[in-house]
Amino acid sequence: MRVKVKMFAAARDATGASEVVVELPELARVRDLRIALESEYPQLAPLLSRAMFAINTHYADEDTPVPLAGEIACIPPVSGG
Amino acid sequence: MIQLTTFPIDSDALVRQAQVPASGAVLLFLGVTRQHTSGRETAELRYDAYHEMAEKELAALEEKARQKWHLNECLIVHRLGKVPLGEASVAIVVASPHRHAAFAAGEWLIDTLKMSVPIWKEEHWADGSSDWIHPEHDVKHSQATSTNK
Repeated sequence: MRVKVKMFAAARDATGASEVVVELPELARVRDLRIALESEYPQLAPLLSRAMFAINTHYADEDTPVPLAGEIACIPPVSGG
Repeated sequence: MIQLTTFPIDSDALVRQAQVPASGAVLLFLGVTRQHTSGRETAELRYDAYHEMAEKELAALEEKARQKWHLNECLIVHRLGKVPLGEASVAIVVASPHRHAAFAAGEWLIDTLKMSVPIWKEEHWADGSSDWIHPEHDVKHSQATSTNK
């Protein structure tokens, strides 16, 4: 399955896009998404290891299933305030 | 009340909104663009957000703070886009009958906001270079949203 992943801040700069598309196995979980992104965008690796993912605007765990349809976002360490 | 805005934050208006006879304590915190960081000079900051998620996380922080402390008012405003030196990127106003709750809630709100709300700052240095800031901390779930799944 192919899913879109939103990119922000240094992750957006590293991939050159505010949204990227990755190919995932069926029934993929967040940990699979992390691996797929790292292999597609090696330059993202240092940030990916410290990033969280959000699914439909809620923080996800490594075990959270990646939905076929839904909003998926890569959340690098935040620095608001 | 929570708000994301690209305009300068009117902290006087926020304090006026919170200052009512029921509240013996009104606390204002401003996070301000600082000129020097570890010996480097900043020209300005720019803030970006995952807008809809940031709004939900901020609303969850307000809800959580209101559960933890007796607050008559809880206002959180974060500015996005360019924030020049000396101007506020974030304002938090809390009002409570007594000061201890206001101080505790204000500190918890800014500390937790910095850990969990998907907003990022980009340092634009005086020498013309720029860096996104991604601190060496793990992004924390705010409990109010993680129970929401």
